[in-house]
Amino acid sequence: MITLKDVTKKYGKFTAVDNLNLEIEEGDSFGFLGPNGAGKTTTILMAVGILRPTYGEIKVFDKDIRREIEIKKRIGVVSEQQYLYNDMTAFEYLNFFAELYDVDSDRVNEILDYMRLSDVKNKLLKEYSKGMRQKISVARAVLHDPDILILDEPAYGLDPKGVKEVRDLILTEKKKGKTIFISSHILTEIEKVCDNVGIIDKGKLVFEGKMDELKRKVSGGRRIYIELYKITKKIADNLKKLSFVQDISIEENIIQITTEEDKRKEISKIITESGGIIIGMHEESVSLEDAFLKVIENE
Amino acid sequence: MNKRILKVLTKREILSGVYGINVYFLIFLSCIMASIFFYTFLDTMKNGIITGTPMLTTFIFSVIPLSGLYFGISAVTSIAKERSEKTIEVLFYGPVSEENYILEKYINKMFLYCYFLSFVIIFFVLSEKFMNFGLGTNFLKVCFLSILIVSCAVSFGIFLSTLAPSENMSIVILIGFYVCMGSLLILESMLGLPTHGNINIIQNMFLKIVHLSRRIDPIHYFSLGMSSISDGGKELLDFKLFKTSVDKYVLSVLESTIYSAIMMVASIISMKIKGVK
Repeated sequence: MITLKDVTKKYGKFTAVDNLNLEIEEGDSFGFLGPNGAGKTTTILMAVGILRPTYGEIKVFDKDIRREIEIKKRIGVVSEQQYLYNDMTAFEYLNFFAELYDVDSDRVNEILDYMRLSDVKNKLLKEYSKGMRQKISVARAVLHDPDILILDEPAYGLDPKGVKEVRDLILTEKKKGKTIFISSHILTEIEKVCDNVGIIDKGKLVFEGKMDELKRKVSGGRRIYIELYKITKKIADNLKKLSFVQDISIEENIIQITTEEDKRKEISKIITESGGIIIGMHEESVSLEDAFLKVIENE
Repeated sequence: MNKRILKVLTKREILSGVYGINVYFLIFLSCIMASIFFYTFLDTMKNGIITGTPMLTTFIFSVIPLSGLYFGISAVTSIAKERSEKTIEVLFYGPVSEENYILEKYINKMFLYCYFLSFVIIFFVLSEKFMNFGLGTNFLKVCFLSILIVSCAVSFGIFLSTLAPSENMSIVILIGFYVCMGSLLILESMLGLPTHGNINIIQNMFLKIVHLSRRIDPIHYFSLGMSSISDGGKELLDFKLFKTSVDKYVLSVLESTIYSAIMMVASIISMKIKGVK
């Protein structure tokens, strides 16, 4: 659906995006992460046809977005900052874009209701707070019911309630089977919304894959902690014999096991058969934030 | 180019212009300036001095420079302003093409000029009723010519605006352009001085370049049209002169139209190359 092939963007001698290859399939929810100045916004602007790549090829719906602008009707974009017409009211602004995308004006009221902005729809946009302006940007992006949603910092300037509203909106779009491409600094939001992630640093893509894959990569596998009533030699020996166990360590009455896949069922069966009593078992979960920082540090 | 999108874009800009204060301020300023001219004419008439065409002179020396300057500057800053505010980016997220965008800017400015002109004409007609200066056919000719002059100024302004990354920079480019034009004018008069020997060839070559480059300046087309109208004042006395003035007027209309069209095409190309950022 969105394909970036060997994409490079240079500004003079500075390389903002370096030989980037990315493929986002239909229905994917893709989180695009990276520190400030990593090239996230540049990549997004190239993907939506605002910037021309220095080298490489960008295809959206298998078409060149810069040549076939009609496909832009199938894309909704939220930019990092809210660039609104301040001399217009919220209703006028959304209605203008509804006309541009050939959408019925009833949809404007519908989206204003959803965003809880109906009460202030006749207020000039220059009087809106940062959060309200961001909501209007998000409303504009989903107004024409696009197949792809490209969001650059959609939670920027929003209060917790606003963040939840926008997240719910994105999740609703995701449930409808829409393709989501989202870049955000709020990694917990990405974690809640996305299945796949890409990490860009200094213009280079340093990771691309499933969210679980990223976490596993940084934690070196799945780490399971089992608290037992008493650890006997038999239990320890039987666990060590298991082929899927990569690493095992015992400390007082807690066993720490590292595996490649989720083998909690098998482990608990072996412990019980060896006469052990399990008090508790949990898998150490690496947050996206930790994973992201580890990947960036390694680079 | 999508006509529906062009219509939507133009409607927004026109409404913003018509509901804005700028055009009314310009009308007010033009009327005030014209009134000062009228007052001066009435004053001279009281002293028994009859001057040629007060209405025409007032229109040429108050309305045209003022509106030309306003619409020229507003065209120069139009795209650059949207670039600074980045609202242009949001438009191009959607199905807006460079052709749609440039054409919309031109149509909007020209519509606003015609809107402004209609108010000014009403003011002139009403003033004429009170002062009996007489409007004449040349007044209508000048009004039509003014539309073409503003068209040249607007299309040129839009072209400069496509080159500027910000609003301030667009003004700098405009000033820079007129500094260059002024320098060329000085250079032209210097090179026009008689010299001796081989230098004449280089001199002629330079003069041709200078002449050609002055054709970029929209003001050049105004002087061209005005000379046809001033010749036309004597048309009733001399058929040959009448024919020349008509030819000059038609040529001026044609040249202004071609100039505007070239500038619009150049703006679209520049926009495509430079992009919206």
